[in-house]
Amino acid sequence: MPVAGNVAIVGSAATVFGVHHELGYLDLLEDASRRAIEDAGLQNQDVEAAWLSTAVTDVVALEGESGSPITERLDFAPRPVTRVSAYCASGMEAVRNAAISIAAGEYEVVLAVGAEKMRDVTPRGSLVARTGNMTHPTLTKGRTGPGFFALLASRYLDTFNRTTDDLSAVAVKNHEHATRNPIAQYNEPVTAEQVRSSAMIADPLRVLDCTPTTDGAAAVVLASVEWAKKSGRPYAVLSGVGFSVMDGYYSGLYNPENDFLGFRATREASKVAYAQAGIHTPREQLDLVECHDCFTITEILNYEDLGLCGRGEGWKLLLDGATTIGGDIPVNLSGGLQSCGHPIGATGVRVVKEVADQMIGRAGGRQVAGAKHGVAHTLGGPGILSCVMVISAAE
Amino acid sequence: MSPFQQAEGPDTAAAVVGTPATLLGAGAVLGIDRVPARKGRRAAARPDEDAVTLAAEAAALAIPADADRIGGIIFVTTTPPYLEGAAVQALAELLDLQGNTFALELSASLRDGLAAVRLAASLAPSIGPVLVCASHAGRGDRTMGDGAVALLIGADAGEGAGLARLTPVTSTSIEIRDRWRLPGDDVPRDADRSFAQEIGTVKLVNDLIAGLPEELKAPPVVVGPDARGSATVEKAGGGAADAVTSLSGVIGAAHPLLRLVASLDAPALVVAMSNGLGEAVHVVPAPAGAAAAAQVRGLAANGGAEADRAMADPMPADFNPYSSGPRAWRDRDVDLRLAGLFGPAEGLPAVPGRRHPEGVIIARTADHVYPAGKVTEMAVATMDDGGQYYGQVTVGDDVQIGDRVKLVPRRLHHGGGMIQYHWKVTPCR
Repeated sequence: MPVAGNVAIVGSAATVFGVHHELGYLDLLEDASRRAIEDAGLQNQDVEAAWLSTAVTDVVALEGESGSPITERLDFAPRPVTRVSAYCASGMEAVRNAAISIAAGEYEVVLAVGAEKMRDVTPRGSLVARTGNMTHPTLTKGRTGPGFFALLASRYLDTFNRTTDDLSAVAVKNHEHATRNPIAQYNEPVTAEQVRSSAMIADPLRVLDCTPTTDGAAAVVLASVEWAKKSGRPYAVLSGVGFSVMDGYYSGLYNPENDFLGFRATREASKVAYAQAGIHTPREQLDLVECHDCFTITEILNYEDLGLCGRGEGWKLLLDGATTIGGDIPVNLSGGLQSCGHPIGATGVRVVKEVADQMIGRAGGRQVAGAKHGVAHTLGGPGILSCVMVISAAE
Repeated sequence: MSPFQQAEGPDTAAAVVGTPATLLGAGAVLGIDRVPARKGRRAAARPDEDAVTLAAEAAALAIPADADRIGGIIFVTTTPPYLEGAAVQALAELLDLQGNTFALELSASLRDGLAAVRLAASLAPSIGPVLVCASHAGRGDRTMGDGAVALLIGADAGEGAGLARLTPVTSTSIEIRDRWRLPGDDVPRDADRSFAQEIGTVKLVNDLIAGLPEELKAPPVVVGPDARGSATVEKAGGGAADAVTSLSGVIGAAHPLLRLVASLDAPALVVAMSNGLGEAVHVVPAPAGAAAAAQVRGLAANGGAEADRAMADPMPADFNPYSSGPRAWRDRDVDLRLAGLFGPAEGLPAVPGRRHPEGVIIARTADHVYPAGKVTEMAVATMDDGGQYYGQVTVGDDVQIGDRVKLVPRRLHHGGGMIQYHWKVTPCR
C-alpha cells in the first residue's frame, strides 16, 4: 500500500533544542527516542526497526555513521537500524523511509529519530570549517551555508526591488512565534532593529537572519493507520509525501536552470505530496506550514516554492501578516529553524513532530484551532533536494 | 699566472648569433595596483595572483584567435610557485597546451626572459610556434614590480612579417653576483651598487655591445637589476627613453620582454644582464609592431588602483582546505579549463584561458565566515556563451549585480601543500 493515507504518526518527542554541554550525542538520541516510544504507549521491545538521521558525524567522533547508536542506547539488538543522511533534509528522509517500511507491510511499528550534536565545537569550528576545509578543492570554493543563501537573498532583493526589511520581518515573526515553544533554543522576541544591527555574516544576511548552531534530538513512532485506530490513542496521518533530488551537490550550482530565486526540489516534492493529499489550492486548503527557514530569505522563497503565493510574491504574503500566528496560513509557529536552531539530523523529525502535534491538537499556545492539514518541509544540500509531507488530522 | 692577477674572463666581445625568428603575437599584464617603489612606483599583483596566473593572462592576449598548433611553451620566472616540480604544466593546462607539448621552466635570473627567446627561436623551425611566458609575482617584495609578458615566436618569415623579426645576437656567462636569493630569502640580496654598476651591468653590457658586428647594433634597451646603471648605458648608446620601468617597476624575467614589446616601433638591441648572465636580441619591428608597443606603454601609463600593501597574508593555521594529488590529476580538465561542468555547446567554455569568457553578475555576497582569514567575495554569473559560474571574485575587487565580469585564472589556496588554481570572476576593466 502507498504511504499516503496509510501511515500514522503515533508518538513523538524532542529534547529541548539548544546548547547541551552536559549531554552527549547518545544522551540526546536516547532521551528523544524513549520519550517518543512512551508517547505512543509502547514499550521499547514493541518497536521492530529504527531509522537514524545524523548528517554530520565527524563532530561526534563518527558515532552516527550507522544506526548503531540506537542499538547501544535503546538495547535494540538484534533489530535492524538504518542510518539516513540527506544533508539538511536527513530527518524527514528518515521518517519517509521508516514510513515506507510500514506501508510495505514489513513492520507494524517503527521508530525514526534524528540527532545532532553540534556544540561540542564552536559554531565556526563545526559546519563552517567543514565547508571550508572538506569540500571540493576548487568547485565553488569559498562557499559556506550562509554565503550560499546570501546569494539568493541578494538576487531576490534586486530582482523584486525589495529591501532587507523583508528579511528582518521573517526573523521577527518566527522569534515571536517561538515565545510559545518551550523547546526552542531562543524563545525571546527580537525587534527589526536588533536584526538590522546584528553582526554581518554574508551580506545581506546578518546573525539574526541565520539559524543558530544547536544540539538536539527528535523522534517519532510510526505505525499503520489501521494499527493507530486500534490503539485508541491520538495520531496524525501522512497524507502526502514527496522527496525530490534535482541535481548533484556541485553541478546544481552551475546548472543554469538554478536561477537562485528558489528551489526546484521543493517545487517538485510539493507537487508530489499535494497530489497524493488532494491539495490543489495550498493556501486555502492548508492550515499551517513548518518550512525550512535556515535563513530568513529561505522562508520567503519557500512560500513561493510551496505554492502559497506566486513567484516574487513571498514578501507580500509575509508583510500582509498571512504567515503570522492568526493569519490565514501561519508558517513556522514553532519559531522555525530561526528560533529552534538546526541540529541538522534532528530538524526534519522535529518539523514532522510539530505538524503532527498540531493535527493532534496538542501544540499548546501555538495551536491552530481545528487544524486539518499541515505541511512539513525541509531543504537539503545547496537546495538540490527537498522533502515535503502533508500531515493531516485523523478522520 | 700570479694568484693576484685577475683571471681572464670568457671572450665577451664574441657574438653568438642565433636563429632569427618572427614574433607572431605579444601580450602583457601588470599587477593591477600601483604601490611606492624605491624610485617611482611599481605594479603590484593581488594576493590571489602568482607567476602562473599572470603568465596565463598575458598568454591569452598573445595567442591570436586563429593561431595554429603551438609546439611548445617556456615559462620563465624568478618567483616560481613550486621551488621544485615546476608549474609550467599548470600553465600549459590553463592554455589548452597540455599533452604532447614541449614544456620548459626557467627560473635562474632576470636574463632568462631573453634566453627563452633564443631557445624559442631555435625550436620553432622544428616544432612550430613556441610560447614564451615570463612573469614575476614577488608577493609584496617592494624592490620589484609584478607582471607578465608572453610572446608567441614562430619560424623566421623575414623582415616585415608578424610584429617583428627577432635575432638572438650574443650570450655571456661570467661568475659575478649583483642580485640573488638563497633558499628561504623572501626578497633578493643586492651587491654593492657601485660594484654592480662598474663591474656588473655597465661594464658587461658595454663589453657585450662592443663585441657585436655593426649590422647587429641598434639603439640599446638595457635591463638589469640595477635600473640606474641600465639607464646610463641606454642613454650613452642613444636608446629611446624608457616609458615603462618607472611605472611598472622591474618585473623580473619578464622585464626584458616588456621593454622589447614597448620598443616595437623602432629597431632596438634588447640586452638583459643579471649575475653575469647576459643575452641580447636584435629587434627589427614590422609595421604591426607599433600598435603592440603603444598598447604596452599605455598599460604602464594607465596606472592602477593606488595601494600600499605588505606581503600577502598567509592562510590561518586552522585553514587546511582539502586537496588531493590524484583528484587534482583526475579533475585537471575541470579545475583548469572548466571542461565537463557542462557541455561546451551549452555550458561553460571548455578553454576559458584562450577565450576571455565574459558574463554578467546575477548574485553576489561578501562572506565574513569562510575561514580563509579574509572576507571572501562570492558571485554567480550568467556567461554570455552559455553556462553559469559560481565562485570567488578576485581578491581586492567588488562586484554588484548587473556588472560585466570575465573569468580569470587565480590561485585559490594551497591546502595540503598543493597549489589549487581555478577560475574567478573579475570586473571587466
